[in-house]
Order: sequence, then C-alpha cells, then structure tokens
Amino acid sequence: MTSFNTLFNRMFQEKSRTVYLIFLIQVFASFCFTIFAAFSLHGDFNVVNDTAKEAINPIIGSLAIFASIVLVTSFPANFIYWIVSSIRNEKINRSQTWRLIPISDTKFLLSNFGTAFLSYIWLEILEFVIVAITALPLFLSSGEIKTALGHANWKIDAQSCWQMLGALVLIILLGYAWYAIVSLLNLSSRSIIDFLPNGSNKFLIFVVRVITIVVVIWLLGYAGNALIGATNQILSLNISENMGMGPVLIQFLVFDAVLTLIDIFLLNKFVEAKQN
Amino acid sequence: MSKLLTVKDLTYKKNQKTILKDVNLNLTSGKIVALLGENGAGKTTLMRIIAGVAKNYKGTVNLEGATKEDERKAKLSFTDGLTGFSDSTKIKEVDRFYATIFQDFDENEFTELRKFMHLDPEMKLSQLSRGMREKLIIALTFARKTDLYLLDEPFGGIDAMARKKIINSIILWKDEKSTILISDHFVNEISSLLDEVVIVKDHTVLEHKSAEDVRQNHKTIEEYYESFYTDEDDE
Repeated sequence: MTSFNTLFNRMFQEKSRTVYLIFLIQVFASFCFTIFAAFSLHGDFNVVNDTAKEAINPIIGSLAIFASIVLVTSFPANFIYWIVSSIRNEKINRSQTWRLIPISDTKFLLSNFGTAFLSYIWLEILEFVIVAITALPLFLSSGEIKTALGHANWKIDAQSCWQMLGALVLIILLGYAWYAIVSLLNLSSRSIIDFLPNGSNKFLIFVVRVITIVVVIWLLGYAGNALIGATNQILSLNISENMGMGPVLIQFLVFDAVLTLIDIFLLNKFVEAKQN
Repeated sequence: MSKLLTVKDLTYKKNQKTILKDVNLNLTSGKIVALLGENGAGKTTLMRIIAGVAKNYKGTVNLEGATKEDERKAKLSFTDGLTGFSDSTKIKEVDRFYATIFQDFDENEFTELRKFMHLDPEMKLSQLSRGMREKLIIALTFARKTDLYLLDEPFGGIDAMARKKIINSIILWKDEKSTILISDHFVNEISSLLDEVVIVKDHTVLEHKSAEDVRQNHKTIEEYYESFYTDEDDE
C-alpha cells in the first residue's frame, strides 16, 4: 500500500509545477510593466515615495515599482491558480493513472485537496518573498520610512494574536471549502451522468451539469443557513462570553467535514476512473 | 496451485446498460490466461473492476483474500494508458513516479525492460509512437512485482517483429507464482504461452478451459475462440 505521505509529496510535486509556471508568468509580466512604467516616468521615481526629500535612485525606484506590480498582479494570479488547480484536482480524481495507486479513497481525496491548498500557500510565499526583497531597498534607503517604522507600535496583544490565528484558520477552511464544493459539483454530476441512459450525449451532460450546479448551490445555501442557526443556538446556550471568530470557525469546520464526507462517498461508491 | 482470484456473481451496469452479468471466474497462481471476446464484450470492464477502478458493481472480487479495492490494487499490476501524465513528461520521470508510488516497483527490472524495448529515458511521452507507448506500458506493468498482471490489449500498436519478441519474453519477466490475465486479438501469437482460456460473450464468462483441453479437442485456440461466433456469422 502507498502511504499518505508518499502520495501527498508526489501530488505536491506535480501541483507545484503549476505554481512555478503561474509565478514565472506573473514575474515576467510584472517585469514588462516595470520597464513600461520606468520609461513613462522619464527617470522621475519620486512617485514611489512622494514625501522623499532627496531624489530616489532609479534602480531602487524600479524595484519598488516592480514590487507593487507583483503585489497587484498577485490577485489575478491567485485567481487563475484557484481555477487551474480546481480543474487539475478533478482530472486527478478521474485519472486511471492516479486512481490505480493502492490507497483508500479517503486518503486520496484528502491528499488531493490538501496538496492543492498547500501549493496555493507556496505561491503566496513566493509572491511575498519577491515583494519583500524588491521593496526592501526603498525601505532601507528612505529615512522617512525608517522613522515611521521606528515609531510604529509593534506590540500585539493576546486578543489580536487570537484574531490573526482565527483569520488564518478561516482562510484555510474557506480554501478547503472551495475545493470540496468544486469536487461535489463534479462528482455528483458525474454520478448522475453515469446512471442516466445515453450518458455520452453532450447536450445531456451539459443539462445535468447545469442542473447539478443550481441544485447543489441551493442546497449548500440552505444547509449553510441551517448550520449557522444550529451553531448559534448551541453556542448561545452554553457560552455567554464573547467568542470572537469561534462560532464562524466551527460552522466552517462542520461545513467542510460534511462536504468531504459526501465527496468521499461519491468517489468511493460511484465515480470511477476514466477509461484510457 | 493455490487460488488467486475469485470473481463471484459480478454484475455491472453503466448508463442503464448491462455490461457484465453474473460473471463468475476463478484463477489460480502461476498461470497465463487469455481473456477472449469481441469488441464491447466487457473484457476491459472486467479487468477494470478487478483492478478497482470501475465502481458501482454488484458481486464480490477477492484477490488473495483482499476484497477492498485499495488492497487489491496493491496486489496487481494493470496496463495503464499513462493519461495521468502530461505529454511533456519524460520516460525517466514516469519511472520516478512509479518508483515513488509503488513499493513493489523494481527500478532495475524496469531499466532492463526499457533497454529491451529500445526506449530512451530522455524521450517525452509526446515523442512516442503508439507502439513505443505500448512497449513503455508493458515495461512499467512488469516492473512491478505483483501476484496478478492484467494486460488489456497490450500489443495493438506494436509491430509484428517486436510483438513476437515481447510475447516470447513475457514468460521470463513474470514470477513463477504470479498470474497473467491477458486480453488480445492476436490469439495465435499468444496461444503458445497460454495455460487457460476464458471466453467472454453475452455479458458473461461463457467458457473457462485449460489450453491443453482446447488443443486436444480443437486444432488451435483461435479456432476454438472463433467457434463461438461461427453460428452468428452463418445467420
């Protein structure tokens, strides 16, 4: 049997290739935009810090522009990653090459979701590192920025720490929910298509996909509201003090768990690997 | 010979069409078995169910005590079309994937088989002809050390000379105890290898005989196989 770690590492390797490709395109596009911006500014880089008393070095200014463009392009790049990785996840779910791996469907699905999300984190880290490196010279060379950073209050109280941690967990749960919902849509519609007569008819497949999306979204909305209501009721009965993000995190945790169980059930019982 | 594979009362439907009905099959260790039947008879589906990649069937499949799909997958090696890899993947990368994922994958054995098939590890999948791709699939399948090998029409695109060479070598690549279930249209070419013949017709296993019995009662295995369709041709 193949271990979860082995499969997870292998899937992460495969998916990180998509990350590198998107990141390289993003960096190249940012580089092109920076050159364009540098020419447009005619050497006056004070636009990157209009409070600066002395003229900004062209290289430092260009790097700062590059950093800000990488930061801006990270939004479409991340969006593209989410779409591409979702499609890749679903291809893996139906790939005979991957499904022949001797591992349980539960571990297979969790590894598929987990590696897609970890690869996203990896993309974020790469973007953060390049923005930090290219923006650093401006911070170090600018007296005003150094002074402003020196006066900033860096003390973080315990409540802020918990809020940051809660936000981080919420992002993870939201990301996981996205992959689980996409899989639910794909796996449920595939199960229905394999059941219906004349399932290879493209029009029928299109109709089933559309109906499934509408029904699943309606059901998720309904279930989500019911879950929020139930959680609020339970928590308000037992806990009187302010729990911050606690209830939201619990709601998403339950939501993700239920979706995962349905996905595993569909993958285990109905959705087979695509025939070569 | 010990019991290896037991398929009991297997029924499989897809899109409300019956593909397999009440299939019963028993295979023992150390045999080379041909799975014969016309196109659409259900040979590939039967192999996919045994391999654990086809779902929603009724009945049981037991491979050396393993009834769960993930346990079965660990005990068998199935010819896969490598569709999970992009066309830009090199042979050496496919080799690495198999070596990482399958504990029973023997890299030295694969290197030998790859050399035998004249495959360059630097070649990308997109550069392979159909025949070369099938040679790679055979090499990957046999590089795993398992109890059961499922070969689904493995020689279709391979030229006649290479096909003969591969078929003659198959017996050397397999472990004495392991069994090969092979579906193919080139019945005559593989007939010398065969220990048993399974005929799939009318959505079920119609006959399962030893090759020796067939040879005693018929001229060749091909004639035996064709005899199941003679009546239909006459009509």
